[in-house]
Amino acid sequence: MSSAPKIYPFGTSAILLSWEHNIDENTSWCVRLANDFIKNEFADYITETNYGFNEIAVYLKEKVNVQRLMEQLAVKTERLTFDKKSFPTQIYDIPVCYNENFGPDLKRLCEQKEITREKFRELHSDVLYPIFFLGFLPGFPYLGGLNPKIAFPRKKTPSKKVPAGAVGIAGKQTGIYTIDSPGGWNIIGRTPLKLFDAKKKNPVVLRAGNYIRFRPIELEEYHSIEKRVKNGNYSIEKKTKK
Amino acid sequence: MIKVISTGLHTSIQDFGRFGFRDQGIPVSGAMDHQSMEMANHILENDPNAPVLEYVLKGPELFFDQNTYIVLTGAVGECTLDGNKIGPYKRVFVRKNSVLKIGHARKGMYGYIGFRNGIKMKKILNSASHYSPLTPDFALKNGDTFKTGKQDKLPSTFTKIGYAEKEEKKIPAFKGPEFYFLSESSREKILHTEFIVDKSSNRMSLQLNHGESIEGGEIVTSPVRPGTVQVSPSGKIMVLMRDAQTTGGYSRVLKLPDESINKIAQKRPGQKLQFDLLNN
Repeated sequence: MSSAPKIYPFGTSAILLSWEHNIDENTSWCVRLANDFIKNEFADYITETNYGFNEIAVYLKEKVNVQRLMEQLAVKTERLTFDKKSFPTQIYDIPVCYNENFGPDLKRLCEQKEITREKFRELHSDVLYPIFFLGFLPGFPYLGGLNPKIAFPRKKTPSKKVPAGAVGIAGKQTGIYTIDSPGGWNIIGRTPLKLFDAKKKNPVVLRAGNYIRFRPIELEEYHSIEKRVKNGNYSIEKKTKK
Repeated sequence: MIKVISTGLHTSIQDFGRFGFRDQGIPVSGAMDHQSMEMANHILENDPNAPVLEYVLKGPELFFDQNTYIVLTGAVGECTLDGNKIGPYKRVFVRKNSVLKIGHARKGMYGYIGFRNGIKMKKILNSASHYSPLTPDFALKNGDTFKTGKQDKLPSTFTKIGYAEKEEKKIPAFKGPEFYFLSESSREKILHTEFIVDKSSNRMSLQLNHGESIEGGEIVTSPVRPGTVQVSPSGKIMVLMRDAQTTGGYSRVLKLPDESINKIAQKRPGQKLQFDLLNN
């Protein structure tokens, strides 16, 4: 992070730190690390934070002086440097069934891009996607790293209901719907995993700062995993990234 | 135990909401009008965060299987306890086997029923607030029952709190991070147009209608919060409320302080409002 962030008040008892507005993997990664740094450094003053590609919102405890904390944040974040290699991260294995039933927009995307479904699947699954942050829906991961060959604009008319588990593409991004929701993403497949489960103590499975890899599966395996998820005897596979 | 005979339009359990989970994409939720909720708990000498009932326009009908101290605040209309009228902003002692009926609110949008020592509710992520799919339902259903905290005796000397049911058109607001992304003419219009609250407004956001040409923009996905006023490229104006998502991609042109969120929450569809710029 070469430059200092702009710092503004953000409504009652909150502060916004804003770096250059562009989507670039390195900046987003650094924003996440800056978030961890701030949470740790200012733990006595803040209740929580959340962040997007280039910004961190910091929510303050009652009676914390906003102006003073803004000044302190400015000093501490003026020159932040991170070595992203020094942070251990994990890779989540996300099985995805890419078929027409689960991916109603797959055929259209393949035709427009003039590639076969096999090629599409390969281009989508042969990538390590960094999870920059979670937002939009509970547990919804914002991922970087989509191959530009399969980037595709959002649908003009959003679907009324996209089911939980749907894997989609919107612009330069790919993502997974964690709950049923209306949405405008092009849906290309579905994972049988439950990435949001209200019955669990920690309902959200994925954590920012790790990676996702999509693993293509056939319908048979989809159903078998789905069954295991339902019975509570499937745990998501995680590998440590070297 | 208290039983919901009928829920009214949309009656949910709310406290101040869930904090600490926004970075997982989980909204804060909580009472739309914090001030009215706080007032209810204050009058009953409760913990400020004690869960209350929140209803929209028309309140529920409740059967009390226990002696209970209650209070009504926020958008209140004609209310009866076993057929006898009761008023807002004062303690009411409800005898066992009574029926409370909350009619249509005369003014405002969100009404509150406070209970001595709050509603007893299993907390999910540190909050009793309804928010589906985190909670199995998005609101109470007919026939649901709930428990309250201990109904220890409260001194009866407590007098009614004076409360002005004033309806103000002006909503004080600060400039948001993208205020200057707008053209000068759009900025002028944001600050000087009388907006009309759209009927689609809900706990997630209030949509404001207008006949002006206001042009907002898109930004890379960034944090938003209750009180963020977004303008889309086509000029759609959305005031994010308590159940709002945690990140968004439209220009954030204004931000409301908490008092203004409480105030705007009480605006009904069809009502007019205008923003009043505060200095940052």
